[in-house]
Amino acid sequence: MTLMTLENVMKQENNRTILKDIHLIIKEKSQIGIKMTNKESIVFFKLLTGELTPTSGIIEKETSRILTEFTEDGLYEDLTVSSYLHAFKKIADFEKPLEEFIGIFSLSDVWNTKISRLSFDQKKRVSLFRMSLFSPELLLIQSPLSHSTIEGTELYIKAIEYLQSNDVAVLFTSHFLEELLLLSHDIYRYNQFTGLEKTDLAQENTAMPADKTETGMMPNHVYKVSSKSADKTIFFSPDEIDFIESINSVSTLRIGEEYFPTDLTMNELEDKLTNFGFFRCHRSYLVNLQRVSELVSYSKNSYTLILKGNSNVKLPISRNRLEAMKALIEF
Amino acid sequence: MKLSLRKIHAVLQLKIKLMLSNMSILFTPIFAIGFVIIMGNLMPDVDVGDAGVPFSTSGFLLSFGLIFNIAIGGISMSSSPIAEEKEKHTLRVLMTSSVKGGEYFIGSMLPLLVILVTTNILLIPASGVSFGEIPVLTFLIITTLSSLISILIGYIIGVYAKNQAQATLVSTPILIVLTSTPVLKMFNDDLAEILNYTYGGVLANLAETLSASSEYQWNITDTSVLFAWLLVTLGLFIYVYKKNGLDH
Repeated sequence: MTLMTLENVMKQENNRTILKDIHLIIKEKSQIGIKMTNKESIVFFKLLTGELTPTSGIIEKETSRILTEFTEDGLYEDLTVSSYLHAFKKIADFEKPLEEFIGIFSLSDVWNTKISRLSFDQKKRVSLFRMSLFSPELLLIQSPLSHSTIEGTELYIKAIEYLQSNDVAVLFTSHFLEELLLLSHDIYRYNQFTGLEKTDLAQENTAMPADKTETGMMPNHVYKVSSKSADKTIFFSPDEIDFIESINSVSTLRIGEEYFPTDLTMNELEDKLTNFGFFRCHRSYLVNLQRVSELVSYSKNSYTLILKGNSNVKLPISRNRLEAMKALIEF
Repeated sequence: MKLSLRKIHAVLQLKIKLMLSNMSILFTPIFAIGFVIIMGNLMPDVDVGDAGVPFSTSGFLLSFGLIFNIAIGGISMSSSPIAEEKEKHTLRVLMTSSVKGGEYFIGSMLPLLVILVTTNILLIPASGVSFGEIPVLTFLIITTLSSLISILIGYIIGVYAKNQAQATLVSTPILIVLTSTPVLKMFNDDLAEILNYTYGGVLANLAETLSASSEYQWNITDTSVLFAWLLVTLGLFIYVYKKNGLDH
């Protein structure tokens, strides 16, 4: 069952485009992660709840049982976990005894503790427990694990799995792809130039069906750069990558503000990516020429490439490589 | 806007729990009673005619306690929690948990009103005035209406302010004017005439009769002033709420 459909949604505030080219379908039980900034996330959630109206595009809602949690949301710190949740139980008109669910949210040992004494992890689970009382169909949660410990993350994921087993769809946003990898099955990245793009993921334990590999039908001219993170491998299309940098002899993909290490060497990457518009501007840098916006000369022999939308990133280019680049892009 | 009694009750219970877990909000009413008792023991017991002018120490203390409780207590106890909830982002959580603004305000107002009215009544024996000496019904009507107006003024400040510091900054001049109304009325007749059209002025008139041991006479001006203030503050509160909302 589809809970929400967004078609070509765009939102401007004060003549500034906050979101654009948003195409998304949220289905029942889905666990979606979207990498976006805090501001984009707040506007996006407000669009989904109907608090804001999109500048253009269509948002079709099949549910009104949507709850949001922003990073800055607070709890009544002077109350105990029990009295806080009982207050919201009454607001939500939740009928079952709360004690049945304490274990699911791993709050048994702090049930009668003041919220002010809880850790960040525990507060996040209290918040999740509170939202679950309202029998939501869709939860919108902003970066819940940004300050979590490993144990806290495990317990939070356990609670999320319980909600998912009760047909709740959850949409997370975060600035960190690693966080979304832990929480979501489908991951998207929001790019201010290209809009919302789905990121390809492969689970390490996902086996390829035998009959498909044996048929010998292999597509041509497809290449993705992979990066391993936790138990998942993320695949990036060449056009998503801004540039590749060699840091301590490790080739590192730079995508927006994030870094992803790969196992390939710079030379291997250069061989693979030259056909996709990448150029070795420096021994340690391989740049996606589609992302280059400016060439600046600070002195006679010193040139710098500046990338689109990120003027802070300056990549060096040597004089002889400049000639090669000129020949390549004909300027 | 259809309000849910269950949610009003839930907010009421939540507010009572919060008050019990953090008693600092009760400081002003407790201070008003304590101050009146202590001053009652320290001040000489002057009664009508002793000094050539109609004056009663206990009546004076009662009037002081009333203005302190209603003006300072009423406004600060209603503005501060809203500003605090905004600052700590707990109000947004309530609002996104299907609680409507009306349910929140009614649920929060009831315990405040009970505390203020109870304190107003307790101030009578605390100041040494016997219940027989004052028109109790008139006293209850005027003090309860004034308390309600103070709560509404506090709500307006709370809705307008973005945090507690701003709420304190905005409410301080209002509190100074309200608490000094009886004194200002004594010093300047023209100002006294203007102040008669404020709810603090009506409260001061009641307090004046209590301290002079004379009987308060209901009049059309005081009645109109009280109801006009109630309507104006309610209207202003609704306007500010609709303009700013609770989550700005």
